[in-house]
Amino acid sequence: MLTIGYPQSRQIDPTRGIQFIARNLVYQRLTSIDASGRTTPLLLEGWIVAPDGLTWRLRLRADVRFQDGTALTTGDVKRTIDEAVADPDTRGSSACLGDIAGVAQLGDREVAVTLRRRCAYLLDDLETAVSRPAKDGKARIGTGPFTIVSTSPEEIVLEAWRGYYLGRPAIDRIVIRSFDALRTAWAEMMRGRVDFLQEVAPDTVEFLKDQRSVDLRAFFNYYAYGAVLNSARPVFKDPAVRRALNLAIDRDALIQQGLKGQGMPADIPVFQDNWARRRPPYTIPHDPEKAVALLRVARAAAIGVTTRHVDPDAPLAEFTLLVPANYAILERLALLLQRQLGEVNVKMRLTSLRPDVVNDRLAKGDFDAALLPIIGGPYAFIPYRFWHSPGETPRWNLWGYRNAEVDAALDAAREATDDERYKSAMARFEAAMSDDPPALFLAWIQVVQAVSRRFSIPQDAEGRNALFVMSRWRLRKPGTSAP
Amino acid sequence: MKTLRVRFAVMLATAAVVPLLTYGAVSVYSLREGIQRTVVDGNLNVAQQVGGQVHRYVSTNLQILQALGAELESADLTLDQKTRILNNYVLRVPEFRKLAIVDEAGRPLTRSGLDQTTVTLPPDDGPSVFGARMSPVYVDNDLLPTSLVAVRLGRGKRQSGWLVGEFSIEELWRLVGRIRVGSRGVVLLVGPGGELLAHGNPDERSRVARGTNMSADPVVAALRASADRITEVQEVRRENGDVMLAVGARVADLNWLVIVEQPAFEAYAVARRHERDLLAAISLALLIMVLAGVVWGRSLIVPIAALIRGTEAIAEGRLGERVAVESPAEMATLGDAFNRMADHLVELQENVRRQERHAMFGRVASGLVHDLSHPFMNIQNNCRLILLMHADADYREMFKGMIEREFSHIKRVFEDLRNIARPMPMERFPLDVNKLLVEVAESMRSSAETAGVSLELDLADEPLFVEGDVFALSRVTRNLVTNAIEATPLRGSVAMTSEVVDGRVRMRVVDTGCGIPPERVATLFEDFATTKRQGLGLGLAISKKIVEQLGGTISVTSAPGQGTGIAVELTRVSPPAATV
Repeated sequence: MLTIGYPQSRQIDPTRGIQFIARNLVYQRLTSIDASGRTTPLLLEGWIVAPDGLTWRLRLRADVRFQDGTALTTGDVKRTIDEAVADPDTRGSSACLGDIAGVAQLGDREVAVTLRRRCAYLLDDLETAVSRPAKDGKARIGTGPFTIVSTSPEEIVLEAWRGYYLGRPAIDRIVIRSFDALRTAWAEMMRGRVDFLQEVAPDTVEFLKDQRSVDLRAFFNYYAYGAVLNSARPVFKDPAVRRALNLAIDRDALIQQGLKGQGMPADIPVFQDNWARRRPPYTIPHDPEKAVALLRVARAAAIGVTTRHVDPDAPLAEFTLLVPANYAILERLALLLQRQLGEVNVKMRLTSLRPDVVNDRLAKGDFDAALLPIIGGPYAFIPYRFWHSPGETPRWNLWGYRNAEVDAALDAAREATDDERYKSAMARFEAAMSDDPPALFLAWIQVVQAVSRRFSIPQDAEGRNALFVMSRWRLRKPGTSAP
Repeated sequence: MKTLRVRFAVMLATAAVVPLLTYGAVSVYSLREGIQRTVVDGNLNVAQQVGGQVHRYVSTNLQILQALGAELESADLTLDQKTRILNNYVLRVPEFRKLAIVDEAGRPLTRSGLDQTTVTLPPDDGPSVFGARMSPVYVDNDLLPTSLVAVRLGRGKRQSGWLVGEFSIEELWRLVGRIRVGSRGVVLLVGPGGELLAHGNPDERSRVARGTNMSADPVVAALRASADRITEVQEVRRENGDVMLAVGARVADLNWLVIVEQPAFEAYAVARRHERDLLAAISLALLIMVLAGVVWGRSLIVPIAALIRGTEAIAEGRLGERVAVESPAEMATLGDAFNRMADHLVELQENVRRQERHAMFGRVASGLVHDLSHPFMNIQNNCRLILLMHADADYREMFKGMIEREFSHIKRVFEDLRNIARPMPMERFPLDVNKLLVEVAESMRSSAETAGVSLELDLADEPLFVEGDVFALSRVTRNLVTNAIEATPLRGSVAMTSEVVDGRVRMRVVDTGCGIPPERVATLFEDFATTKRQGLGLGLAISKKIVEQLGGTISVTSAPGQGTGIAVELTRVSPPAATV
């Protein structure tokens, strides 16, 4: 049996709880994403896109079975896509679902999806897991390696699904347990009652390392800490101000002082290792002098004077940063950011609010800036959802960022029919984002997981979330070392 | 030889082995004590140095807090300005994760950062450290050891509250974690209440978060019970079975304890290695010494043994025995001398034997001449007379008697010679010594009277039986009495006695004669030895042979001028049944 400890108090997003872990182990999608962000088949055996890019023929694996033993059918896939299209929230936050003209079953193994216009993100957009109602009509069953045995707010119990098409997991039972605090979860781990901590805070890593009973695994989870700037506010209307603020930030210092070195500088909202990013990747230098110069020009333009008449003692920019409360890392990053911007005579006020209040303010556009973890992958459609001009349901682009060039680049990527076109569109996107940055992207977050050395994790999962390969974990024989 | 070897071994042990072993034992003991003392001193030194670093770390940070308090009070700052100063300090000094200003009642006035959680004022019943209040160390939710510290703002009547900080002492964890004594020795930091604050072994850090209290630990208990700044070494058995060498030192002012513990096997590894080396060296030296002693002793003992064997052989009469000693030089010289001596002894023996043969031949010849010349002369003279007196019948009868007597005499001389050459056959029967002595006395009495000597008997009251040949013993007794009569002057006496001495029958013939010179006593019973001027001197020699054939002994006591006593002792036996 394996016990997963999950400190709820550390999560900003309340949806990321023990249910999040359970969903990843019970349900599966049609496709998966590899380390470079490329879409790979999972429940699908493969797919064929028509030359016009409007018809996608999806071929299912023959051996996939639901956790009640019934086979995955083309009917299940059609139903899943139809339900996603019918759901306004899902459709509104997607890139392609609104363009689906129809879904048809082609025999036992194939489903054809017809689009009204080309959309390269179709498979990534089908984020909904494939499931069907259980025989009792209440729960839903999936095709993942584990099935749900019991659920409560404190604990979810899973057991191995014997008929898992990639082979029965070596771990026969998993208990996902919620803890109020990391300390409690960790203490349980030291007592041998927790085997896996999904996330360990940077402050805790040093304490845990060198322990013989625990392995620490680090990986980047595609999230970046960033301060989203509301370009609708006068202070950020001028892209030069946003460029200047980006130049004023010493990202390496932020990572060292705020994250104890556990991070990587972030420049645009696409993860650095994504296959479509140009090489070498675009980076924003730390150039406070240039930042001051840009800000002085922008300030002068804003108040209608020449740069010589700008009051040297007055702040070159003033705004308020919303910070979700009770998260020490965000608070520390905010203070460091405040200090760094203060060095270029930018006055940034800090306001600490409950996360849900921050979300409300974002949704209403009632903010200057907000410090948040911003997702930058792994799916290719992520930048589209966040940074394309909001459509009729601007669920993800809450800050109302609009840039025609960015939109054009993202649309080009959306309609790309091959890798070269896609990469070209992403390069255009990077350039547009650097000209008109919508946020201060600070650092990609390095997550550290703690795993009991009772278990061994496949070597090919190095640098990735161990949770997603839990079906391939093995019990280590006593006395053997880590691979 | 065995004794010689034993003595040599004892000499070797006394002179070399025992001193070497004594030296080795003293050296091993001194080495062990010295190195153990060095290890303990070294670990104590580490504990004290760590204690010093802990002291400096805490005092420096509390001084920083006091300096911040002074800065906050130095000018009329607005609350916003104070907040900014607090924020700057929090960013610059990572040890203070949160700072707050509270009023006298502990109500917050402002604080660093954005988090609205309260930083509470440490209770005033806690210890005052470097002029600051300090709460016990606890582990926060990020697993960092933390203490609340507070310094007063303002002085005297202008006291305006407290500057409170969350003091993260994680740097102490790093400090403790960096220190290794040997490869497995670690440092522990213990709070004043026995709470474990830091553990140098990563696998033991969980005990810190679990709130392990070490009050019962022997080192902690000893240090807390004592006023000393350090503890002496303690050997502590930990839960995993390891025996740890533990020492402790107190951190000044804070009353925290620094424990340095190291597995005993590792701490004493150097001492044990040196001990092994020393023991190996001593053993080698001992082996070499014993081997050298054996080789050297053998070079002495072997020649000595050869000389002893040669000497014993010479003593046993094997004069042909020689020794072969070639080394060492002194022993070779001794061996040569011994061989030369043996050669000389052989020559001397040959000479003696030659002279003895000559002397004996002379004695035998003169004795034979003496004993046989008279009968031959007598026979010759009577043969001449028989020619003249052939007709006289009486004379012929007397002639016949004379011829028979003289030939009997000659025959006896020859029998004596033959008895000397080979033992007489014996017929053993129980016989009464007293009766024998009486019969001999009766037969010899006329001879004694003729010689003018009185013959006396002094016999035991009871019959004294021995197992013997009556004729042989009669001859011995007669021989002794004859000798006594011949050696006793006129009016002297010869006494024959019998008695029981120590269960044996002793019969003696004692005379009052001239005695025997002491130098002759030793050879009295040898063949052809006699004090008389005539005869072969075989009487006593034959007597001795007869007595020894019967399992008895014969001995002589004599004082020149006073007399001689010759005693014969025989085993007493029970009288025959018919006699009883």
